[in-house]
Amino acid sequence: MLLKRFNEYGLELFSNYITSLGSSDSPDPPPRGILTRPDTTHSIRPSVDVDLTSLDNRLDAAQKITALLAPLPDPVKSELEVDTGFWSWLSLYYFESVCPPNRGRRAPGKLERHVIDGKGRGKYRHLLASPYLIYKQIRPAYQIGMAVLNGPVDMPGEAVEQLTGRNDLIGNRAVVEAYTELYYDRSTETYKPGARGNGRGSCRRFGKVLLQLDRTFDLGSMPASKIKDLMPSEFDRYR
Amino acid sequence: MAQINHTNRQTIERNQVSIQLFKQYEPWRFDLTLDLDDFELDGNARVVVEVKHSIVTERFDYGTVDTPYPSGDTELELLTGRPNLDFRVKIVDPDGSGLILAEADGVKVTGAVSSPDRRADLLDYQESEDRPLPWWMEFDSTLPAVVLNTAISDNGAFAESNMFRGLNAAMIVEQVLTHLCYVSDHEDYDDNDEEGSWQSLWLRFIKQFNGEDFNPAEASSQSKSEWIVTSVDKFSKHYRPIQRVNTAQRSG
Repeated sequence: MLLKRFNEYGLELFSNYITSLGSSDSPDPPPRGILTRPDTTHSIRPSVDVDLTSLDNRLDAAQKITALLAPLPDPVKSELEVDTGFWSWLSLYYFESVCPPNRGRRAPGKLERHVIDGKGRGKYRHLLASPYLIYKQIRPAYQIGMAVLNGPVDMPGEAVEQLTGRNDLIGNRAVVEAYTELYYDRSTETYKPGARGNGRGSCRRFGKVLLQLDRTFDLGSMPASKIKDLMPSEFDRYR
Repeated sequence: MAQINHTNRQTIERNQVSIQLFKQYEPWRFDLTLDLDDFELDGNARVVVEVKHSIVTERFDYGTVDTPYPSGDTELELLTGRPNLDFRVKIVDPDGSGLILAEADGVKVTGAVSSPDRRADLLDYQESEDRPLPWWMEFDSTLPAVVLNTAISDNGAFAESNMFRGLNAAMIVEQVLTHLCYVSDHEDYDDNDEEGSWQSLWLRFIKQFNGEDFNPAEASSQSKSEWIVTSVDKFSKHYRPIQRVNTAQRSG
């Protein structure tokens, strides 16, 4: 299939489908036909072939989308990266990964997880745009971002949302690295015990404390180790 | 959560910072103009610019308070094509602590340029060997022209250098304004469209700096003279020619 992007009508049909899932015990199958219809899509030039594969996790999604866009010239790529129609098309294309069926039902969550609003806001909530944009910022050293590239595509989880929900922080490589070093256990490839809770020094506290430090210090000039040094003692258990 | 400023961090007001975004080529690039005259800041304090859109941020070292010029290109590798860019300008303590001494946050683009060349809106650049001078001005075409002697032009690179701009930009502005006031017989300054005369384009350009509506056709010789001096001084305050020359000297 050729990579495409939804037009207004395609976006409307896809949004309606997502909305209908929330209240249905026997949902309709994904409307894959609108991925190729001329009245619901715009072509992308130059054309790019896309092969349907599953997305194993957020990192895998980021890498596959990066590879998918690689043949495109930078101006086209830049345009697509902010295009609601493109990300929504991709969401339907990978629908089995971003909204897998569970006992016959699908739980898409909020619409913005699949359709970025028309002004391009909320990309960090989009299940495919978010890992792609994070990966783009930190590659090739993507390991420094495993705390926000970890986990299934359809359920990013608390640890991911606590950092990606803060635009002032997620764009800072050293902050992302400090976050990963504090809360991600590379040996077990999962989060440290308690990291995702509400307690002192948890992921929830990290964002709040870092936002205060960000008003006082130029965090972008600091290595991850210095950022961790600035964190108060409540974070000691994760250092 | 309440924000308490314990560090005496100063706020750079919107009228003290301007961002010009150049979108004519990809990747986009930007210029920053800072007016820090009202601040008592260490001249060696670092100027840092962060450009943000959604979850993507690009960061640029923009020299020091004394020489606020970027150490490299200001090309937006990740953010070209993004609408509504947000700029954050930080003045950072040079002691290595990372402490922010002053900042402007949420700064929007003051002006965007999509035409092939920003200066081409105001000036033409030519090369010639006709006169035994490094450069001179000519006013016989649709735009004032800076003519650079072919012997030193280096295919235009010299005109782009901080040394040339620092030493000559104010003089070029002064010559253009002098020609506009005393030689040009242009009288219609109401043509506000982009296709207007160079005289109108220059009046609008200068108004950015002195905020003054000025009509040379109705002004006395004395007021023209005063307007030229004031305009060149205010242009230079923003353009910082002396710092440009210092930067050029330091970079060899």
